[in-house]
Amino acid sequence: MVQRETAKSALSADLKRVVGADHIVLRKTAVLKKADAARLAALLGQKQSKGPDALIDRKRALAALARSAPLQRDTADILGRLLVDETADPSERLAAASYLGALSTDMAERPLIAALRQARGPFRSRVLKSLAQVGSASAFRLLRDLEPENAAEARQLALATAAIAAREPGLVSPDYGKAFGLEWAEAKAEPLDRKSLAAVHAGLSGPLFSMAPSAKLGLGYTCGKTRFTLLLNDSLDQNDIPKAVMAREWIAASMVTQAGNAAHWTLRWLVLTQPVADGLRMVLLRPNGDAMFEGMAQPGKDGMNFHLRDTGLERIPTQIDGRILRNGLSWTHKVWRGPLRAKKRPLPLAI
Amino acid sequence: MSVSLRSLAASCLDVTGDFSVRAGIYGYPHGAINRELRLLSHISNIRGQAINLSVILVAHEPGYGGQFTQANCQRIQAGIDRMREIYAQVGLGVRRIYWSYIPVAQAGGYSTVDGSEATDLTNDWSGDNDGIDVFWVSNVTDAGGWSNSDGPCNKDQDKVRTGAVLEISNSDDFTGILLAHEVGHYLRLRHFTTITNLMGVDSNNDGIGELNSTSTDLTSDQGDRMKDSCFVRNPC
Ligand SMILES: [Zn+2]
Repeated sequence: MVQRETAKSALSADLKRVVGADHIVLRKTAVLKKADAARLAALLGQKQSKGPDALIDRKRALAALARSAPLQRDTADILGRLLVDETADPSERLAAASYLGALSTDMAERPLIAALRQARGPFRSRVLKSLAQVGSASAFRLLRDLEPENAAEARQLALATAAIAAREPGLVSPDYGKAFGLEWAEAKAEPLDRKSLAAVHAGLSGPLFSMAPSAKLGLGYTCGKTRFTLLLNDSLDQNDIPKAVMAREWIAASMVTQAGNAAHWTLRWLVLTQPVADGLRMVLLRPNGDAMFEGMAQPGKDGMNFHLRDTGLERIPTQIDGRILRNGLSWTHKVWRGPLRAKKRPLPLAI
Repeated sequence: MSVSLRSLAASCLDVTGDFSVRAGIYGYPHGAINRELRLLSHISNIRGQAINLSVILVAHEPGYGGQFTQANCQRIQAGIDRMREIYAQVGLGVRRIYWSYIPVAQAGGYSTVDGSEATDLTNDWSGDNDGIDVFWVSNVTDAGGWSNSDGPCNKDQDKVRTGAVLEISNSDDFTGILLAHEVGHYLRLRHFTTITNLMGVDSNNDGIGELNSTSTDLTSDQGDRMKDSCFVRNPC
């Protein structure tokens, strides 16, 4: 009892408040004074009681030590020993793995790489995350050649190699598109000849909000099983479309589609344009008023470039890029092919 | 087992068939509990206005093969019992405890989270029940736990934290105070002005409260405010 009293009184008031086992501290962002950090490092280096007579809360102590810069070497030693100690409390080992990611590369990288070899489950995931934070060329080479155990780990590896390559001169990470699964299916619209365009006009099943379509200018493409045709407003079909479109508001075009093997064409989206201070606002509306896409066209070298993003009403992320040229249009419809959030959230399992 | 206990279990807790009082009536399925259980006052607490808790263990496996040992789970149930004692001061019961877990293989990096990862965790997962979600993780790196103030009742809401996220702390008593504090936020309580109050103080206004082992009081005003939450169930 006497000994315990002495040990307790050996904590300064500051230290006791931050890491004392008899205090509840919600904040884990305290930075210790040097003497307190040294005392804490000494305490964490010893075997301690975890029972009701424990002097310090070890997880809070690890957090406080990792934030107290002057003792990085001791901190790295303590955290490194915990990492490989299979008898240690699993949550303390996890804490050690995450706080190593806050230290400098020369101290943290080696123990993290050593731990990665046997690490499994949440512990492995945390070691990988910390290597992403502080790894250098040696971690890069190891991670680049690692076979991911599952999709989540593949994403972690991609982040880690990209982050390291981004801060280390001379390293090149894999193509971001491939690494992060950024895949879009593209459909590029092609100009239609007068005959095909006339056939679309003839096959229209209903009016286009009184927009008369140009007999010369129209673009077509196929997306999945749907055939799309963009019909330009005839009144805009002049020598200088960018100038005309900036003169006032327009139903600038109508997107009509032919679904499956239907013989006729129906109105899918109205392309509304409105000149605004910094360019041309473009909105694609369904005939019921749903805004499906929106974006801006900005003046470029020869014409206007536009980028339209879906408003969330499309089932899959979709965007449309293109240009308004003096005497024509370009139009590319892009549909996301990368990973999607599950429609239904997974549910935790009942105990 | 008396007939009245059986009918209480069926009508208030949806528990039928054979059950032990500890697991069936209290909702403590993880073995012995190091606290004195008083059945009569417990029954009267859960029959009045009460909340339900949805306890979600992050990276757990049956047989305690994941991040949670049986001792960890016993600490959580002792903490729940301490929380019940604190909330009983203002006549708010903690009626049903729904225990569930996220398997190790699906938990990803969520064993160790900071404030924003805690939000992602509550958006990615949710208990399929009418309880307030309380996620238990191995470590919260920047605080003792996180919760929303005035948490949404629609647990499917995106971009906001739809539950409390806590780490296992170093004693049963502190686990209970932390749990009661974070769920207190969810039930619309803000930080308080005296350290002896459950909601503690936030002297530097960083959104993180300060608590100690005496932080257990609740005022009747706080009790009224909690009982206005959409998560509070009618007496049964
Ligand atoms: Zn708080």
